[in-house]
Amino acid sequence: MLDEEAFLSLLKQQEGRLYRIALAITGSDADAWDALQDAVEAALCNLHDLRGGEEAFPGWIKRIVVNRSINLLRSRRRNIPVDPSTGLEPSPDPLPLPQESIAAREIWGLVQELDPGQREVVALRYLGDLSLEEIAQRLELPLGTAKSRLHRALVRLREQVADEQRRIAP
Amino acid sequence: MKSEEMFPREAELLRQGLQEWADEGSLPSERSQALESLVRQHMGAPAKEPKRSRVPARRRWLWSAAAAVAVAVITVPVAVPSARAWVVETFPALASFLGEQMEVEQGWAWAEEHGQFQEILASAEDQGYTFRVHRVLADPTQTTIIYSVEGPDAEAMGAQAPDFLADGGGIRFNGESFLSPSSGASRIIERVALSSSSGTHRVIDGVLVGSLEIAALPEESGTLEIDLRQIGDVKGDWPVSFAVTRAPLTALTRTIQVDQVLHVDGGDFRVTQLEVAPTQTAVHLRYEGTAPAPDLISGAVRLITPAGPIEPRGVTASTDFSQTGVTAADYVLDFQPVPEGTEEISLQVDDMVMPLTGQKLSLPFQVGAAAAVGDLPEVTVLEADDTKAVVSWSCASDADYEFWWVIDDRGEAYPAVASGRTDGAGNMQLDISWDPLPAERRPVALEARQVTQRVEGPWEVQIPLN
Repeated sequence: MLDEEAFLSLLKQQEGRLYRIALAITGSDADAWDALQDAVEAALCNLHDLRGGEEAFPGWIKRIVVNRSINLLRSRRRNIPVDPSTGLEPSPDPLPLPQESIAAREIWGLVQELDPGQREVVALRYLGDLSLEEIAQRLELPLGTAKSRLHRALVRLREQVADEQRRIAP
Repeated sequence: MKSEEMFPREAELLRQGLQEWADEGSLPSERSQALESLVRQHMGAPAKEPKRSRVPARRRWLWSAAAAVAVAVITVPVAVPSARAWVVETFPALASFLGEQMEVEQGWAWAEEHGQFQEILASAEDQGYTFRVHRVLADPTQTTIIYSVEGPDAEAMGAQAPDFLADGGGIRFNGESFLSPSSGASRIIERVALSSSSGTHRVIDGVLVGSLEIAALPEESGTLEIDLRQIGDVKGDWPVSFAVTRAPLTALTRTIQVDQVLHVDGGDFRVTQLEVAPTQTAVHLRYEGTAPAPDLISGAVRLITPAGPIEPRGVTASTDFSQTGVTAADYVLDFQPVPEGTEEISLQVDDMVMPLTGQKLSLPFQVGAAAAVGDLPEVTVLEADDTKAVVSWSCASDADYEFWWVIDDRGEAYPAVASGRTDGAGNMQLDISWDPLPAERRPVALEARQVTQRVEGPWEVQIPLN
């Protein structure tokens, strides 16, 4: 089992990535931060479940972060209409990284503009590495809904990429 | 084809882009230090001191106003995951059913997207069967109840939906009867009675799952009580009660008063109201005329938007009544929801089936006998015996003969049942049957007491939605 220093060292390597995964799933900084802390606590309490040592740590703790983010989403869900045009709150990430790739930033910008339901499915699929069946089950959605959200997100991305290309074309 | 197969480039763009974006993330130093403190407190407490619980270790850092709210929200709804386990984890059959229906029911898909299904946790068990109500979708046009039934014998549950009216059962809202066999002929009850088994159901993996559609709640909020007394062949008592509200969807529904008229022979159809809900569009029509109220076949009235036609969901009609020679009837035509931003719709009617006032057909009871009503094609008796007959007429005129009776040699009339088919040569053949007549009575005539004819339109009205 990992000792304290090993755990901390591995966590520090992953914490930024884990935070962004939680942010993409939950859609808010506060929720992402809660989910991350919750996940770290859960990891500490279940360290005996980690198999494969340090190499397995990144995937293991990512799964815990994804699960805690989903739990938070479900507990936050409210029965009021959601304006489909509402995107994410602006990320308060105060450290824009000079080395951040343009492509990644643009993709994140496009994802932020998705309907919250679509963003959740996209984040769980491409950051959480969940199958659509798993996404449907975890979010308590019919599989058809999960599929249609992903479909609409991909269609929207295609449209936005095409718009961007038209914009920059000479 | 899967979406990612249809859009492989976009899927890969998302995957790579998001992975890169996540990889480039970092935490502000104070948050990084908070996590470090959390780890050290959890793992590094000296043996002589009691281990601090997980909660205080985090909460010490988090005790700000915003954090306190976050803590409360995280810790309070502990019961919710197990309750919501009714939906998918415990009931994959329900998820399958909902998924299938949402491919067709755009209103359901919208409600799912926007969290407008009310989660219900009501159940009753009797005779070894458990009836559960999982969700309700209540808008100003109708109320949809999604339920399941589990029990030891799927065959006994039957391939039919539970009969919510059988054996004295019914539905009450705020203590008032909302759906029962003995309800008065109010519009709501009539509409409900006509559609009491409206909805759909399936047996999936031994679980009967289905939806019941009934009229809109007469008030915004209240308590719905369902007293189910029969499930398939099984009689029992499954009473459930739960709170429901249509307030959120009422707030999102536009009710547009309309006063546009479609003139037909013998009467007028007046489009009185349009209800545009995000879950359904309902068109209210009122007929008044000297001719009996026409039969509006579902699909005969089309709702067209600039984006294209909107699929019909069904028609319900009130009981006809006559006042001083004028017949009146109310219809509600349900359609899938119109696209957001639609500014005008068109209602188009191609055909209506109009009863011919005061007309009936009387046929001598012998093979070869024929009779006609006005200019309509002759009806001929093809077969006749003591308890059944076969008659035929040309389909060319789109006439129809309904409400058949057999007349005996003493002039007494007995109701008959009829079922028709076309013979492939453009003729309608109708099989008419009745219970054996009293001893020493014989049939001498057949009567069709309603004659209808399809009247061609088209009729069209334009209705602005703003």
